[in-house]
Amino acid sequence: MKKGVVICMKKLKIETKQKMIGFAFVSPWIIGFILFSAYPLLYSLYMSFNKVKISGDKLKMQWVGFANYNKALFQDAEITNSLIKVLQNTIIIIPIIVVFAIIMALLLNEEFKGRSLIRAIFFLPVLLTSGNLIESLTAQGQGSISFLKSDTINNLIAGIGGSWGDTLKAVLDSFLIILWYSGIQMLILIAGMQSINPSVYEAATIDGAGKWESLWLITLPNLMPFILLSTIYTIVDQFTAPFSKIMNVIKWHTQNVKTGYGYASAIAFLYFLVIMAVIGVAALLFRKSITNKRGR
Amino acid sequence: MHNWTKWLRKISESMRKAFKWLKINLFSGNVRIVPKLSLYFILIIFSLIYIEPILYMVSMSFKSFSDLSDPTAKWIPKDGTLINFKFAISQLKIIPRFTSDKTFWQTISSSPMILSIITAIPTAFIQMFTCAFVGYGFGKLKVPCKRFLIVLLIFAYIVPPQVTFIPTAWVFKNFRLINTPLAFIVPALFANGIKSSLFILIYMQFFRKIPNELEEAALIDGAGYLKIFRRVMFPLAKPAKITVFLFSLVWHWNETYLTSVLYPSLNTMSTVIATVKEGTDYTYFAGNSYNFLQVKMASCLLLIAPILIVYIFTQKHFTESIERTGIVE
Repeated sequence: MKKGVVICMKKLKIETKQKMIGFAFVSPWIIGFILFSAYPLLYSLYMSFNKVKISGDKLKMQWVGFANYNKALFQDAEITNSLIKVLQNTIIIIPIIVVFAIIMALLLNEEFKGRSLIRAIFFLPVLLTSGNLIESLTAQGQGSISFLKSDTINNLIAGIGGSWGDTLKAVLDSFLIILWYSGIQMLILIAGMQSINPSVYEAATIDGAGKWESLWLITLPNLMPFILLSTIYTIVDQFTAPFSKIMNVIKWHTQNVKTGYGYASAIAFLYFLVIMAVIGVAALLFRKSITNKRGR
Repeated sequence: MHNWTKWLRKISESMRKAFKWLKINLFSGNVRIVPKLSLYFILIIFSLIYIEPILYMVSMSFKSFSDLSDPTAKWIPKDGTLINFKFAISQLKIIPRFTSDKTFWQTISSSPMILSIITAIPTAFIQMFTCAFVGYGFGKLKVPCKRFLIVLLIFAYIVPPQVTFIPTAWVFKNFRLINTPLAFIVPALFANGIKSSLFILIYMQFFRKIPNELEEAALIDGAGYLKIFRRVMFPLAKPAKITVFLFSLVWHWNETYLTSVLYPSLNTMSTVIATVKEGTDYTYFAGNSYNFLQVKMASCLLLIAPILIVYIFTQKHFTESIERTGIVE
């Protein structure tokens, strides 16, 4: 029995030793997370419940409870307007990007000569996602595809009218630039397609499936986790794009002496809640693929 | 009288034949010439439409003033000139001028191009190392509360920078990191650069695919885990390293929002091209207003030129080796 206890102690020690080594490897990130993510996040949450004034080099806080949130949601029309606009934009843009990425990934997965050159071309716009560059290009009218500027389409949109019409028009005006945002999603989806076992396709061809059937019954169901990953990536990417309206609103309020940092933090947190809600909707739509996902 | 029935039968038969041919050629599993050709056709046309703005940017940068109003010179300028580049370089102060009254650092950092290089390249290198370090820990080693930490990782990615940038700016001010390239380098040292969670996940998936036997063999030979990482794992991660380096470089190079917050007085290339405005100039344009559009495009081209050069050398490594990167499982 004494020997059993000794062996037990030794086992425990090896296990904890390994855990300590693992922790040591991960610790730089934990320190960075606490310093640069967790602390600012919690401090920002604290600030959003206060009215913040800058006196000299320090911040003076004055507890106001939910007043900032009240003001942002129910009193300030600018904020609700920009939030709704941002939501409208993303509801239209995200499916466009993901569907385009799926189509291009399917095309780029075929074997043909010059495939790496074409892949390089389609991946090139990822290098150009600087906000100022895209703004300069859109200002010179390079944002959209020429046949989308035709009169029939304009009349159709004028018929829809209202705020949805404005959003549609803005989307069509920068359609090409929107397609440019799908580079990384293409990469994810191509990687996903490589992970499907090719013998499944062979078995299907033996059973008489054509290309069309194998696309819908083999490729797309297996790609679902990757499509979810791409969707989440697109959501985060679009919402943190530097030139959306709500960013400017937040930035402006940080400079504003009357409302100050507290108000800006409240708006930022509301924005964050909206993002989480959208991601939640996406996860709900794809819930079947989550249950099959391993490792998380 | 019966001619039209004969006609009808002929037409329907030929249509049936055409459909059968289409069905065999396009929708069966065999590789035929027609679908390949149509694939090429679609892809070439689409890639031209896709990069049309880039081609526009390149051709605009070389156009002189007369080419703008010349309808025959839409893509290839008739009066090709480098004056737009010269003007952009001089206006953006890309080439530093060494005078005796400024320190070395001040003159160097007055040039946006050099400043961008100093900010982005070390950060990308450092992220390449530290994210591999953390990714190896998550991927192969026993970490306490691993699931919770991975959830934190994803959470750190989802939180938009707008929520945290105010306190982050104050933290940086306290550490006196603001307005220096260190504002980006120090977070990267702690594997917390821009979108670093993505890189950690990439490395994690990559290291998970490496068989455990490699580690066990090294352990038997007496290596500690640090040595295993340094000698075995990190050199193996070449595709992932190149991917992470390129992405990190591109995102730090193009970052405008965070730079305007953490780096308000300094000018990196990506923020400075917004300052090109209309006006007149005497040195190059003899007192006339300069070609604003062309100069803007020329400055954009200068912005992406270094990245394009790096891209040309590294793109093969990840567009074609996605299988080995293991970005996703």
